[in-house]
Amino acid sequence: MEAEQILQARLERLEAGEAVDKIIAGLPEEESELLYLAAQIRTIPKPARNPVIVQAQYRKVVQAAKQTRAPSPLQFALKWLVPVGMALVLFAALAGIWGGINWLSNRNTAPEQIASSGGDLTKTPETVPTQAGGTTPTAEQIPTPNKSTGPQIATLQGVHGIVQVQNPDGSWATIQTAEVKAGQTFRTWSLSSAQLFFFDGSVVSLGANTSVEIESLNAQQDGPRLITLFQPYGETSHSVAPSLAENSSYIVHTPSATGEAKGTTFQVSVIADEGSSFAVVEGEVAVTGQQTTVDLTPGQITSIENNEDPSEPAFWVNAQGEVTQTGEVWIIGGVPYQTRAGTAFFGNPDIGDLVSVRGQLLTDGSRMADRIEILSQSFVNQFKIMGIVEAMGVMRWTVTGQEIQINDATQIDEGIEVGDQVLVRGVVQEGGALLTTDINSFQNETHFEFTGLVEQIKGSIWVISGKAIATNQETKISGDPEVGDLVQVKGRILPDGTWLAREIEKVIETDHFEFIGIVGSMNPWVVDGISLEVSKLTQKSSGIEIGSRVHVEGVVREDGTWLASAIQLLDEQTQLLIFVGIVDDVDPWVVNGIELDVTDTDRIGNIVEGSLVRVYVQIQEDDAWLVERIELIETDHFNGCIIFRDVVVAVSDEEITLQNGMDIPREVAEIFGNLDEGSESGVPVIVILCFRPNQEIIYARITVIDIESEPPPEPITEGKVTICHIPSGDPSKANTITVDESALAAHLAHGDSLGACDGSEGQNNDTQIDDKGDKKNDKNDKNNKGNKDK
Amino acid sequence: MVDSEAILIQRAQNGESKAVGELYMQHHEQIYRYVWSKVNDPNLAEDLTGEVFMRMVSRISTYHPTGVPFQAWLYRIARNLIIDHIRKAKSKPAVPLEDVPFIKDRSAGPAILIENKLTVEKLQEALKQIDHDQAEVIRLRFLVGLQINEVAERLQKTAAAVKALQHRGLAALRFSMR
Repeated sequence: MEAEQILQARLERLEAGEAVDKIIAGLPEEESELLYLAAQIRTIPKPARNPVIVQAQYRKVVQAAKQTRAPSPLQFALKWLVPVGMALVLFAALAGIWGGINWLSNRNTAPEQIASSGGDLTKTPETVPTQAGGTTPTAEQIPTPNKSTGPQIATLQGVHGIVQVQNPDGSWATIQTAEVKAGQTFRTWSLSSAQLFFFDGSVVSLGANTSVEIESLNAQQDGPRLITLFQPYGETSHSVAPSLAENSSYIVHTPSATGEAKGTTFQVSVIADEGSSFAVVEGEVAVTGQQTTVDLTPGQITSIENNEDPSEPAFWVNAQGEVTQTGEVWIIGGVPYQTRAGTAFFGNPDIGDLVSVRGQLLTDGSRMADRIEILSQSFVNQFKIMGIVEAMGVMRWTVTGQEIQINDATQIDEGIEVGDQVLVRGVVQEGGALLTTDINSFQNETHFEFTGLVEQIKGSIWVISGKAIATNQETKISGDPEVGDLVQVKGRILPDGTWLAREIEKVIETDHFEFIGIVGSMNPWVVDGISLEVSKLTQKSSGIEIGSRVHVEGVVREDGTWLASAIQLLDEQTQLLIFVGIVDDVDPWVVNGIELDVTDTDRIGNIVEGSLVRVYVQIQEDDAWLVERIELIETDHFNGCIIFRDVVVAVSDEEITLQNGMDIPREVAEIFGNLDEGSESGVPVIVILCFRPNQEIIYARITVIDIESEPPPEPITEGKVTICHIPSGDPSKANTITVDESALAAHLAHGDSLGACDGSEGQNNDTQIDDKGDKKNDKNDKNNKGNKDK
Repeated sequence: MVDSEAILIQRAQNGESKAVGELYMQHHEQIYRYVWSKVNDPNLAEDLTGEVFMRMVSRISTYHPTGVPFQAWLYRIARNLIIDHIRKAKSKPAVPLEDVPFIKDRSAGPAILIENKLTVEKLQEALKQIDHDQAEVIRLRFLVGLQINEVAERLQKTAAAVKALQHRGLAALRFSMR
């Protein structure tokens, strides 16, 4: 054998783990030296990749891939098919979403609030953002936050997922709660979050994948307060306690800028290697980049690329909608948003998905997206049927009267027989054929899958996002996942309730979840021990009660929240199908290439070719698609509102000018309180503005804050708004109520006013009205109460 | 179901961003190791690795599956980027040669390899002294951790040629480090 062959053979033994001293036996000295050298090179420590950078690069690469492709007409057509109810809900979302603005507390606020938007302007320093997510304790279980025990100590608590503090030797210790001092650094992992409480009442909320170092700390209440933080990456929300002492400071450094605040509420977002942004809800923040400083007032945001100066302050917006175009310009809810290198994407949003976007109104009237996060995955071309297997062929099955096609790629649970209850999912093909991708049985064992954070591995039991997952010899584990990694888990829920993994695969992005379980609670939602967040977009079957067996699906959001898009009763069998598409022809009716049998044109209305429509179809025994009705989907609804506190500096008969420089036309403004024309500047107000896509302000509500009265009005508290409700337009029946922010616009539209009614004492103040206008007893709404108390 | 690489590449070429993401996940570790083995700076390697994949995105439509294997194509992108980087870095003021920490001691015998811990700096300096192909094989085999056939695929050589380069490379390295 030649020397190189011998060397390679010995190297293979080395690589298999054999000791080098054994391997060199019998070799000439020169060859032995080569092996020693190879062994030494192999032992040189290899650097590990920084997971934060990997995640950022992954997103950048995926985003770049999206930008290199033009939106195809087919994708734009939004051709999808969903079970009853889902489309209605999405339609309601498209038509009625009142702009989401609560991104300052998005990551820590229940998605119901996120999805329905609203600003958290009255968060006091003592306020603890709501913990949300599949693994978090319920509101009642969250311990009351304690302030830190001294001005030079901060308390880290409210931990969700994996949160670590760095030890003096550089290693990291995973903690549940900790007292931290100046010089210490802590970090959160994916799907994780925590809060940091200072002695003066200031609070920092850390989002997922965030690191913060306390550079200096003296949070005294009786003297100058000094808090300096360094945030190399991630997202934080700051609720800074007011300090009357001179020389007080609250400073956040990022690699690209420094923000200084005094008594304010703001957020800092840092993308590693890209830059950072500061946004203000209340008070003021001075942001300094390389050389210049900009002052941010409520409602404003600035971005700072590394080694650059801050951008001119812009107004931030937050909205939700369906994605109809990706690329350099995204169209969300019909509104174009430019993207840039630093735009952050979460959940790999794509065409057809429902997303939340937050961004900036630029001076030229365009919008720039800073962050786009998926709220609900697209149902493009997809169908779902729950039902009973009636016939099983090689290429075709019949489920609840509906023929479905099977091919080699169809994944079918083992052991399914005629008469079993199944969940069928697949793709609608041209002409309307239903090609099946998955058939899951929920006869005895049920299927689950979700993306989660590996928190512990104890023998065969893994704890993934708080859920104990059993593994056995048949479990396929790929990608060498370790504690701290994101994984996708698929498996079966055994009759004894055990979640047994079939596959555990390391992944980089959060994804959807789905499982079947028993409803343990409906307020808040808990199914099979998993806490679920719901939004007004969540489709819920009617008739669900505690103990019902339901199929749940949704998306895992960046902060670890499990946001349900559908909670469906397993007994429900769906024959009515709904799909969305572009009208190809109206005589005869063709939508997305599918011919429709339309018998009652009276129920269709004025729809022309090219319109985006939602079609309700009853599939007949002869496979004809009989249309029940067709609805036009309006895509040009306004979808952006912002809310902030500010000060009116001038009032004329044409416009109202705010301190932040914004002019509000009088004709669209509703004013509550005394704001006389020509009045002196300096009147504090709460402003709600809603825009059309062309930036035109279509609605403004300006409420004068009466600083003389105590307590001041509390227009918004953790997703709830106090309003004066006037039933049936009868002012004599006015009463003070709190409503979800999502319902605010509707209430304002029918004449209710922001804030408590005058002389509301003695009126029924305990009534709440939910999104649907249904009254309910405050005492029963523990969730809302819990949120408020925190 | 895991797509075969050919299908994955085709999906990526069709503009499916998720497929591009999967390609990143499949290859980023090795590309990072390779870049690090060339530039000996973990942070710079992070940056360049990102650039490799951004370039992959912009050029993936030009990749022909019947040509070089995909991994070899990626390594070629990485190699070109590193060359670009070094070229640019050279146009900036360089560190004086006398400040380079590694000083070769040719009088030392083979024992020096065992007594003195081999550092990546020493290795990098020594790799510069040997034939380029040999150095490339040493990097890919022992720093990146590839098998002979994987190295052969990336360098577009036969396994026998790689074995020969490996042997000669180690011998040249040993001589260079003395």
